[in-house]
Amino acid sequence: MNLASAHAPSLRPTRLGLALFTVYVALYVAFVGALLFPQPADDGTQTGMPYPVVGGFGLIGAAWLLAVIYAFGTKADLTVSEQGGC
Amino acid sequence: MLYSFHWSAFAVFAFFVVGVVGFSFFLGRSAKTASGYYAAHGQIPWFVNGIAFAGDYLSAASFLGICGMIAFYGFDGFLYSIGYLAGWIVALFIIAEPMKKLGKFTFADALDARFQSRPIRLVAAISTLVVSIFYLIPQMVGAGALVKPLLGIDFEYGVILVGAVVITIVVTAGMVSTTWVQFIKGGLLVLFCIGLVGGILLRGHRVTTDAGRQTIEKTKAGVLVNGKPQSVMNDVHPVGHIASLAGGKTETGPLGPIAYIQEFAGAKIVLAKKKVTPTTQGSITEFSPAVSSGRDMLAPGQSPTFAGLKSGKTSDRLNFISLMLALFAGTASLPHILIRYYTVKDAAAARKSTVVGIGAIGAFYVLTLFLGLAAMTTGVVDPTDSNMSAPLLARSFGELPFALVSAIAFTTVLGTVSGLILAASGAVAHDLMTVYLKMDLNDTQKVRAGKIAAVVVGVIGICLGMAFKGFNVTFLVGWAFNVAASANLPALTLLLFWSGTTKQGIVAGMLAGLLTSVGWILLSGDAMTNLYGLAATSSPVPFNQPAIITLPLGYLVVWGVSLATRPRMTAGVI
Repeated sequence: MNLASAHAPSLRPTRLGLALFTVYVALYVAFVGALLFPQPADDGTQTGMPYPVVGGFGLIGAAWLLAVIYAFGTKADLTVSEQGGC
Repeated sequence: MLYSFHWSAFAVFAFFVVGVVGFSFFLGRSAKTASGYYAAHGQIPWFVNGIAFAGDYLSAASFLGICGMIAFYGFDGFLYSIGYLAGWIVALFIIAEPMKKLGKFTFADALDARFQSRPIRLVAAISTLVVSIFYLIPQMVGAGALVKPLLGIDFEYGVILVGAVVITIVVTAGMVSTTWVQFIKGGLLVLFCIGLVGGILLRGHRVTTDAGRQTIEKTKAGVLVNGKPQSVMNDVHPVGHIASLAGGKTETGPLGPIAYIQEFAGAKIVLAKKKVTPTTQGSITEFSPAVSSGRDMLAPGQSPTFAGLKSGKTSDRLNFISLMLALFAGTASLPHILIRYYTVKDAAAARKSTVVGIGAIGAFYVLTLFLGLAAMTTGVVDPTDSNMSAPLLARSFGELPFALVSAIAFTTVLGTVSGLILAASGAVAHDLMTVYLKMDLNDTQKVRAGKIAAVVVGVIGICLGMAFKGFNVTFLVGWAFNVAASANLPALTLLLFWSGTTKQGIVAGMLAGLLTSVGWILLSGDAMTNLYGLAATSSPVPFNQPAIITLPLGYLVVWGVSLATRPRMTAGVI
């Protein structure tokens, strides 16, 4: 028996899940890629938040945001499954 | 004096431990069946499971290791926070729901749902055991480091104490107890760290005086600190200070989170630069004050792990990419995390609990940067042990915060180690004994076998924890992520996404990922230096972190072997 064909609609990630996953992977790759290049040297004149910290907080914030979007985007599914209680 | 025994700290610590063990005995009544013992009857509420995810995942590596690494090396430690959280995206969007739908007790249940293959069971069980043991080592190291200053006992006794308590928890109540311990610990950890960071921001930054140059001389006769025998009254002084703040200020007063980092970036930081010189009798370790710019400490490349980023060498850059890949891909491949999906009612609850977990875990990882930077600049860091930075930071607020943070850190270790031992015992009792060896065990016998396996795995963890004394726990967890990602993720994702996957492909891919990643790690420059006492240059592999090679290799082997062994009648069906 081919499990994938028998269960494809329920086992494979949702389109929304895959789309959000792709967005996050792109952000993560961009962040890691940016760190591969030399950071600007400290000449004593820079102010504000260093870019690596901004990028790191941004990635954590993006993970939160995408998770919330996913939770709301799949709410109908959750509501149906919740009818039996949790 | 860095470490001394305080009754108040001991009382809080003892209250936590006795409370957790008592709670386990109380919950143990409901774990008589295999379903109760391994999966808490699938009846854990999704919110509790989400916080328990945080309790399970925020291990000694996250709390002690990352805070310590940031306190020593700045932004480099925060890279682990970023990578660890990113891994949850894979878990949420790709793995959570299928795991719940396919499995029952163990990670192997999901992998084997399609084929009912004994070889898959065997390889998945071995992979679970290897990854769990790799992950267990840093937890034990963290526990030993914690108990030493708290109870005034040696590292080795600390490891034994943790092992004994955890084995008791797992043996008494299995997943029910483990889940609630993780829930309590996860909630307490995040809440306490929010409070601690609040105190840090209220305190702001201030210029202080450094301890100056210090030496530790190890001889056959004993240890000399600054030329005198080491004792409670003559020990290493804590390090880490601000030499100057931007604008000539001597203190900032209360700051907001963004202003705190901006002021840090503009400050000059005094850290302890370590130099070890071998002698005929042993060695002399010298800690000299070294001034760095705060902005430099908020850029990558300060730690030995990431120093290569500044060298421009291709192998160093590949090493960095490889570690970030392992952190991203490893989370959703950790057996002790995956089995938590079986404790909730359905796939929707699995998804919701993952969202809650991401919220709690992400919040904690944001806090790690503030905890680490505060430890670096408050004059509390033990230059000989990065793992104790967060508890020592808490001590700067008083003995009670120190006792609380140590007790929470201890329950952190308990929660994570409980999950690891449970995953390993399930692999032995369910996958190996019941399915692979086809032993006819009834429910009671299966639970008993799991408990015996838990004791054995716990004892192995205790022994390895002692052997790896002195390693940074985050560094060690990086190895576990590499192995988990390489061995488990290719088989799991191809099973979900490609109908052409065969059982032979899964077995071969898992073996390839497991053997190559473990082999690479054991032959790496880090292992040469830290495990065998050899020069890093004697390593035959070009960089330390294997995932960039072994993860794609795992995919390639699953794909290639599946193509070669695919039954003709199903060829072309995708």
